[in-house]
Parts: sequence; C-alpha cells; structure tokens
Amino acid sequence: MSVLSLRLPWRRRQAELASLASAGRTPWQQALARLWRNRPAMLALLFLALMVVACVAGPWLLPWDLETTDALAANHAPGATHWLGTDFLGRDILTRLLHAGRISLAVGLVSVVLSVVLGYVLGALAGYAGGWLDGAIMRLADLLMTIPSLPLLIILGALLSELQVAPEQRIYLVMLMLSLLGWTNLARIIRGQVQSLRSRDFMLATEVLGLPLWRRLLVHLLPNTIPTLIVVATTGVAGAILNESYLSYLGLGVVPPTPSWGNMMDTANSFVDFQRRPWLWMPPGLAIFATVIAINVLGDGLRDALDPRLQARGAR
Amino acid sequence: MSDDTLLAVNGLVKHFPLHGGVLGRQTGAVRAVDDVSFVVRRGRSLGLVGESGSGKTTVGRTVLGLHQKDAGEVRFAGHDLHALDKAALRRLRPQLQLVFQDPLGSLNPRLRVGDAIGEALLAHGLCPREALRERVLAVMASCGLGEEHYSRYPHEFSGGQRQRVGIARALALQPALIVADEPVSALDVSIQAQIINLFADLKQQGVSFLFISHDLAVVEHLCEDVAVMYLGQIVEQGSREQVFGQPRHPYTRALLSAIPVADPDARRERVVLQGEPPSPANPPAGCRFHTRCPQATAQCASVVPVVHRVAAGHQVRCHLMA
Repeated sequence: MSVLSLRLPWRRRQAELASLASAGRTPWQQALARLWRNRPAMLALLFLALMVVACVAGPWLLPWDLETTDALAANHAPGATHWLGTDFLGRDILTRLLHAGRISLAVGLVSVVLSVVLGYVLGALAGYAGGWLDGAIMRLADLLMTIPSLPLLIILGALLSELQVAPEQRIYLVMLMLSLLGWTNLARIIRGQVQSLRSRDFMLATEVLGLPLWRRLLVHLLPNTIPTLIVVATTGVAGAILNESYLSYLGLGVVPPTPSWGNMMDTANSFVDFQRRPWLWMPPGLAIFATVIAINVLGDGLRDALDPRLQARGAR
Repeated sequence: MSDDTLLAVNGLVKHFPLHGGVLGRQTGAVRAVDDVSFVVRRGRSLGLVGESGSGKTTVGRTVLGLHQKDAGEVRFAGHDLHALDKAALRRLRPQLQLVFQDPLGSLNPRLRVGDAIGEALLAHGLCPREALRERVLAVMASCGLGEEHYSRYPHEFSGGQRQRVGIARALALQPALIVADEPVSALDVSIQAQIINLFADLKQQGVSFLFISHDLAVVEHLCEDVAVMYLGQIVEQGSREQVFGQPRHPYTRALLSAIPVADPDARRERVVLQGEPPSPANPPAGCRFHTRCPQATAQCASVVPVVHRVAAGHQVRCHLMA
C-alpha cells in the first residue's frame, strides 16, 4: 500500500497549508477532507460503490435469469449475447457473478457488523472494567485465536451439510460462524485503546471535574475509539469476504444453487474448465481480488485520514 | 487547626505495589509518598518543590482522590476527602480543581474548547444552559482567550493558549483550591511568564494554589508557603521568607545554591550534590538524604530523623536541628 499512498513532498506541504486554514472544523470534517485528497482511497471507494450498484441493480437489468438453464447454450465463451459466457448448464455468467456479489458482499458486511458489535462491546467492557471480567473475556479471545480458524470453519461447514440445512438459510449461519470467530481482533485492539485512554490526562480531568459516568464514557472515552473501529471494521470486511470464498470454494459455505464468488470458482477444480474455460472462474476470482484490494486501500486511506499522527510517523 | 485552613494533609502515605515473578506476587513497593503533612490556608498558596521522582505529583493526585491513599488523612474544607462516598465527592469536586502539566494531553481532542470549559458547569447544575455561553466566554476572557477561540479544537491552539484553556476549565467552577501540577514546565520561557502572571491574577481573586514545581524561582514568586520534598518526604517547610531566607535543611541549601543569579560577579558558595537520588522503591535507611548529604554523620545512616520546629511554622526533618 505504501507505494499507492506515497505523497510527494509538495503535496504534503499543500496538505499542511490546507489544514492551517481549517479553523473550527470538527475532527470528522478534517478526516473527510484528508480522505478526499487521498486519490487511491477515493478510487477504491468509487470502485466499491460501482461494484455495489452493479450487484444490486445488474441482475434486474440483464435479460438473463439466475436459475434458468439452457442446454444448447452450455459452456459458451464470452460473446455478444452472453458477455462473460455461460456455465455448464447454460446460465449467464455475468448474471450469476452479480448475484453472487450480492451474497458475498452481504455475507462480508453482515458478519463484520455482527463481529464488530460483539468485539467492540466485549473489548470496551474488558478494557474499562478490568479485573476478572477482563481476564475472562480476553482468555476467551485467546482461546478462539489459538484455534486455527480454517479447520474450525471447515468442521462447522461440514456439520451444516450433515444437518442438511437449506441453502437459503445456510448463508445466515455462515455469517454467524464468521462473526463468532472474527470479533477477537477488534476486541483486543479496543481493549488496549480503552486502557490507554483511561489513563490519559483528559480522562483524569473528567474525574476531577466531577462529570457523571455516562458523560465520561459517551463523550470522552468511546468517541476516541471510533476511528480505530472504522478502520478495523473496513479491513474486516475484506477478511470476511475472503473467508466466505474459501469456505464456499470448498463447498462448505454458501452452496449451489445460491451463487457466491467462492462457489463459482469451484469450477476451477476441473482441469478441463481450468485450462479451456477461464471465463468460468476468472470473473469471480477477479471480483474477489479487486474487491479485497479496494477495501484494503480504502482501509489504509481511512487510517491515514482518521489518525494523521500515525501517517506522519509512517511517512518520515 | 485554625479557621483559615483549606486543605490539611496529615501523615499521608502512598505506596505503589511492585509485582514480579510468574504469579505476579507483590515483591515490593515504590514508596512514592511517605508520611507527608502540610496545610494550605485560604487565600495563600503552597509551593511543593523537589526534583523528579520526589513524589510531588503523587501528593497532588492523592490529595485530589485520583489515587487511593494507604494511610493518613486529607481534609478539604472540613471533609475527610477519602471517606466521602462517590456522590458527595462529586458534589465537592468543583471546589477542588487540577491544572495539568501537559496542556494538550489534558484536553479531549474531539471537544470544542468552549464545550470543554462549560460541560462541568452544566453537569453540576451551576449554570443554566441558556447562560452557559456567556459564562464560558467570561471565564475565557479572564484567562486571556477571545470569543473566536470558543468553537476551536485543542489542536488548533499553541501550547500557551492550551494551558489557558486548561486553567479556564478549572476556573469556570470557581474552585477554592487549584492543584497546579508543573503547569508551566512544558511551555516556552516567554509563555511561562504570561501563565505565571495569570496565576498571580487568580491569587488576587482569592483562589488558593497547591503549586507543584521544580522551578524554585516560580515558587518564590507565587507562593507564600513552601514545602521541599525529597524521596517521598517533606524535608523542610515554612513560609517563603523562612525557606528561601534561612534554609536549614542541607538539601534545601543545595537546591537554593543551584538557582542561577543574573550577576556574573556574584560569588556564592555552591553546594554541589553528588550522585543521583536513590530509588523510592528502595530508600536508604535512616535519613533518606544521608547518601548525598555533605553534613551526614553516622547517626544519619541508621536513625530516621524526626521533624523539628526551628521557628513558628518552620519545620525541618534533620538530625542537625536536634
């Protein structure tokens, strides 16, 4: 990422001048202004926005249906009728790709929202309360972190298959699985932040000023953890999309006929498809690749925008 | 105890436990504050001086109830501060305020300074919301801040202005006592003078200070009473005239002889201390200062000196006074 976010000296000077003229702007407004000036991050955001719009609107606009098969049009290469070709049942790849995008992005977003809520609440609680509660929460996190997550996910996925969960319900369980494993990272980071913020002078000041507890927490402590939360959550979406695609590729996450980027790549398992029909697995592969990169670039941009001191340390 | 006593600290002890080993058992303690007693009287200010690590800041924070004490008593305006329940302590808070050494670190980066100064007034119901802005602007004006600063954020200020914000925040509650913990040592010298003058103005208005500093000249300028700390104990205290005019403790003499004098021809006796102050986790037996004292005797290494009254209000913890 460092190459992409490299700032030329004259640009940094310009940024400093701009920040001098920023009297009275809230830290959020300044962060947005910094993000706006970060070209790679804005390109990534634009790409992600286009991807979301395409996935949401695309399947309605395309003439093809998700499930209708057409034996005569099976395994067609990309062309004028089917822009990205068709699969072995004659279904339009582009239509399936955009549908799969809905599923993959939704699984990524929802599982991250769940794990962020879990991780934030548990992390903040552990950091603020300390004592046995802190010990209990952090040992649980340690335990989850020491279990290799991929084998565990595979076992859980196999369990779902064994229990014959319907494919439509299965994606919700996949979201839940990913979030139950994914909260530990954020919990650790937030706990550390809360602990260090607690001992900062401005938190001591709130005690000396005699502010009520709710105000000390909601106005002084927690808002200072939100930038970290945003950055970790953003990069978490990329991780969740990748996890979903591993699982689905192995047939243990989202299963056909529901398409996801991961299970569409399943076709690369067949040597003939891998060698002769790249249109079957390249589009979902590229979609995962580009989306994950874009999310990470955006996450980097958010980090730079929300915590300028961090950037200054990295840049000099 | 006379009527004009605002803060009385009696035999205050604060140790920080040291943990070691795999099981985290207590292996010792940093004896940050060991048997400290002093009085701050209404309308007067006490300067607490000493080198780094002497326990000055711990005294200040324990007095404010930010640390739990291990022994002794802190009485503020007649209340035993550490015996009060949370609600009662909170009600007393406006009376007893703190100004920090690091002005930037003491301000929430996400709060406009006007809100930072006003929030405690609202929280204690000391000012209706409609009148808040006027009240805050008045306090800001008395600290040399203008209306244009009200909606700015801490990072948009210079160091001196930030310290003015910190002082205004404490002052807004109309405290009787302000604990000022090295309030000027993080500032440029030219700014220091402005802030010291601001403190002098506030003293005129009847605010008392517990002024914690290692800068003897500042303390001499601002404080009527002075206490000198060494390794967690007060070695000498008295009025400004007594401590600066007739210092009795060898440590005080050494400190005072180190103040630079703006006269190249002045010839003075310099008392140069050897070595570093010992660790408060393992203070020397007997008199804590005997390892560096130019006048130490065999007695000093074994017997803990008691506090001697050498004049009215002038106390020295030294065997030489016996």
